Amino acid sequence: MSEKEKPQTWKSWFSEYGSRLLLFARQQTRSEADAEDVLQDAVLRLWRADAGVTGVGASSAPNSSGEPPDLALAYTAIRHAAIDHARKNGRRVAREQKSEFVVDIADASGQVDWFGSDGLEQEERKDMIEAAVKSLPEKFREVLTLKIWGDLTFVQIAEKLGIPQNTAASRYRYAMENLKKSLTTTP
Amino acid sequence: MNDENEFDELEAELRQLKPTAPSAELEGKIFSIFDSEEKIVPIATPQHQETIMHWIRPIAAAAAVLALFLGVALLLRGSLGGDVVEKTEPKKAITEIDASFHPVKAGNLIMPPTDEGVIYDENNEPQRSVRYKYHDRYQWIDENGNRIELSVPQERRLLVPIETD
Repeated sequence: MSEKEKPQTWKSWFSEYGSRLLLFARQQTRSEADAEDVLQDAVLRLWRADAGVTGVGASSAPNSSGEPPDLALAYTAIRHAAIDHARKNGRRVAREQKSEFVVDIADASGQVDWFGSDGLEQEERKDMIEAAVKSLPEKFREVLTLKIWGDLTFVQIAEKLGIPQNTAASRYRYAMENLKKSLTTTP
Repeated sequence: MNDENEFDELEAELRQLKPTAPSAELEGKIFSIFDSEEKIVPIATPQHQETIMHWIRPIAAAAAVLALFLGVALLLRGSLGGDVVEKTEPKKAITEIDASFHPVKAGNLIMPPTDEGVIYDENNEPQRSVRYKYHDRYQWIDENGNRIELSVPQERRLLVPIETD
């Protein structure tokens, strides 16, 4: 791929997978703004890693051929970026708590639609499922997200999250059971 | 009933849900990453004193790193015995690097700024906090094509006063 084609190829890649990547970033953060920051940082790391730039936080170069990374690698970059973001935020919050000027920013993650309404015929059903997904504990929800909307296997999920494969499978099962229960008991 | 069949219907329903696309603003920010190009300044024809100063700093930094290695080697000599240090000959290595590598690139990559929102300064005046991140990058190369790359992350935070009248 020529250098001229590379930006357009990456733009096409992001247009296709950006929504799934943002969904995963939301699982790794506490607000929509944080999710967007993390996604932006992760994409920047991948882009720079592909260019062969070292020492910028990218764990490894995807392929250094100009081709965008596969989804699994992109999820890894998002997770690393989220960890770094959480560390920075932790320090910032500690500083703010020491200051008399504390800005309380509301967590708006629950108010943002994670899913579009054109997937299911009934908007009401979409809202029910979305609410049920959001109510899942984070560690179950991230496995569900990677499995359903990331199309990853349990082996890949275990690798991304640094957990045993059986744990990934059991978390998925727990998530599905809870969703099923929520959706059948919801009036 | 096994697990797969048990959740098939729900899985299919979940897969129909399409995650919402990133906002146009976020997409624009990310596309700007792909459009950004590093500005490379050829070091062979420096015309300004400022460009020369760009080189003095990283070379000094590289020298400091080599001096650190030398210090560590001397410490190891004290703790591990003389054999290890005798084989490394650190002074000779420094001379070889200085002679064979020459600078070829200096540039920087500026990332999109982050708006951190409004904060209040010590006078209780509102200020908009904007954070800029960029990397200063330098590269040396020797006759055999071996490269040394130095990337220095930089960060600047600007406070822009907000008019309240």
